[in-house]
Amino acid sequence: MNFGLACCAIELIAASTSRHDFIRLGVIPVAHGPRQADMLVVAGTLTDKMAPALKRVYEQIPEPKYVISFGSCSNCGGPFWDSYSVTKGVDQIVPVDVYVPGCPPRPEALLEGILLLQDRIGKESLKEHYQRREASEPEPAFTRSVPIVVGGGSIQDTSIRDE
Amino acid sequence: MTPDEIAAHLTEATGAVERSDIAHGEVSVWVPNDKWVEVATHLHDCGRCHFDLPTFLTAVDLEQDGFEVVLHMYSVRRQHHVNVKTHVGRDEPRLPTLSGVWVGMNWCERETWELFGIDFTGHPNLVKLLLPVEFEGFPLRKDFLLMTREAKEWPGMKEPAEVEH
Amino acid sequence: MAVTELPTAGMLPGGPGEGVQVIIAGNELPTHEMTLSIGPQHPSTQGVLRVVLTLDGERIDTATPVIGYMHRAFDKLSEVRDYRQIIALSNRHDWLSAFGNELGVALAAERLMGLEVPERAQWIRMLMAEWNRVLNHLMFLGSFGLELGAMTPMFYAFREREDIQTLMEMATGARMHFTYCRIGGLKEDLPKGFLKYSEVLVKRIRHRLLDYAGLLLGNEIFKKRTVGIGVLPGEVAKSYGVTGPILHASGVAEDSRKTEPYLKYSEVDFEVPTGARGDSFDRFNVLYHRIEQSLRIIEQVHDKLPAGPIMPGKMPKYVKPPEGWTYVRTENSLGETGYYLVSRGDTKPWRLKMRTPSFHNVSMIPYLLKGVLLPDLIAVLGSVFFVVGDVDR
Repeated sequence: MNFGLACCAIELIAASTSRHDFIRLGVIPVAHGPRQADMLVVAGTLTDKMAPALKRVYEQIPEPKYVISFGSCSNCGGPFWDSYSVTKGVDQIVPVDVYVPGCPPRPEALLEGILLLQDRIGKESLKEHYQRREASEPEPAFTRSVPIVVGGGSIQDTSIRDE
Repeated sequence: MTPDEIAAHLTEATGAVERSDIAHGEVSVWVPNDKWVEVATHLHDCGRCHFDLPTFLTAVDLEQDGFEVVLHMYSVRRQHHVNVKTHVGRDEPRLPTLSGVWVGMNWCERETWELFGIDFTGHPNLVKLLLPVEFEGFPLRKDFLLMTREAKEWPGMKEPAEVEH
Repeated sequence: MAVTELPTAGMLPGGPGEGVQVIIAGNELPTHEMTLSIGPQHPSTQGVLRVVLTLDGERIDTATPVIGYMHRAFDKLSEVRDYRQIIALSNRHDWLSAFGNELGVALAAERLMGLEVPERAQWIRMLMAEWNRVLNHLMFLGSFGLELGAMTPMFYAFREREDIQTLMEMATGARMHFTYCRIGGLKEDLPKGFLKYSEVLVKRIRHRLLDYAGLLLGNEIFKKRTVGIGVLPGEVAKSYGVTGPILHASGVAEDSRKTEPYLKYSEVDFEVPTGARGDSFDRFNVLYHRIEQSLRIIEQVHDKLPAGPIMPGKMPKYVKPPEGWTYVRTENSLGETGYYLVSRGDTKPWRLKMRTPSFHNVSMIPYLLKGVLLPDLIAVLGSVFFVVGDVDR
């Protein structure tokens, strides 16, 4: 389910066309509605006006579902971090599994993110997945296992931020 | 018409121009609030002016002096521009609407209202355009602070050499 | 309406019961008015635009675009950023032709400062702006086809876009948000091999444009769906403030590259394609021919590019334009992009207003969609070329 909002949506579309092609990885971006989707890719800036729509779409996707946050605007607000109308990161609204940093990230970064997510899905046990989901509803963010950040780094490394 | 000619023509034809200024090749005329619609109608109807393409309508916050509303018009046939400006007080900012003269002003005025709080009397549909309905306050006023910047200073303010590691 | 009494149930197996009247409708179907919200998340709208329609049967009565889902407050943010940061932020608005937005900011600050930009920098800026125009128009050629059901033009368009983005990456280092412009000139000079690849690309794209003409412009189905649909008369377009290819398709050839040439547009030869009817087909056709004209300009820049510096001497890191105001307009890919800059002598502007073409293009949707049949909605909405970042800023 591609939730392409802004400039990152163009790189998302570019990642699905012939040169980079994430369709060969099994990710087919033609979901006829959220009810038939497995994965949500949020690409672009999320504003406070749009946030309820994102929550509503996320809730409509049936389990098991995964979220990739594509681009720095959806990771943390990005270049619009001080704006009065931008949500500083989609992880305030929906729990995120993979963060792909960049502004906009290269399509190759999205391919890496998808491969890492597929790895993790392969190793995950469904029982754990559902137990964790039930225990954590309705709190988003950090309710699953530690999210992947493409390119290394860790969400929980706060040494830079506390300076 | 050249910028000088536009200023002279408007002063003569409408009698409402308080002052005019030419800067960087563009002409600005200042008019009082009550003559706002009259001057706009003249710009639209007059054959010599023939301003038919609204470029933008916005406001500038001048702190103690209130707001300065700027209207920029362009004429496709005569290929000239004009800036028409007026002053609006800070306590009760109000101006008559221009959406009867050019349809394109409708959205511009809605945007200026929601960002600055300037009321456009007679506007057919003055509701929020860009901001969510629950938003409080008028963001582009100078006294509306960006809370993220207040809460935390931008880390990039310091040069890399100044940061102690 | 014709009313027919059907025979009783006994005669028709499983038919309606006795005394039931079956109404066979004639030409007038009873209709209700219905409100349909084509929401912000929709595969057919180009981004997060919401259109609330009231329908009478299949005919649209009123259409209200609801915008603001991408409002990121550029005007307010630019009051707390200095000019280099504003250039980096401005190119995130019309993201399909990012250089055009940067150019406007740089031109506005340079005009206030009275800076003389070196010749080579002006020619290279023009080259970049025209390549960005080609990038933008290619995207719309592909997406309009996709919305009408043709999948191939989309892939072809992105094939071309990938090539051009590789070219841009050679010079600027980025695929989309270039941040190549600086106040006074450019960030750095073109690398070796850039012009050669640029010439190769011009020939390649010119050859491949024929594919689009073959697939779409001559296509019977495409023509039936777009000719005569969504007509916009020139006078109405002007009074809404519409500029760019949509205005040209309505017959008004207003192009600031011709009327008030900036950079070096007065020294290159090109035409402004216009349309006769102002319908969806014309808008698409105008885009197609604009790409050809842009390629023509790029070839002329290749021939005329002079040697020289790209910055006027040593520029300070923080630029302080003197007190004053100015409005600079450029002919960006979608129309007239202008910046109204009020400076008070500081490193940050006092007020920077971005006048975007898509804002006005979207404001005329209520006029355009009135009376249109619902199946034609996509053909009309897809032909109103806008980028949501531009609409909401």
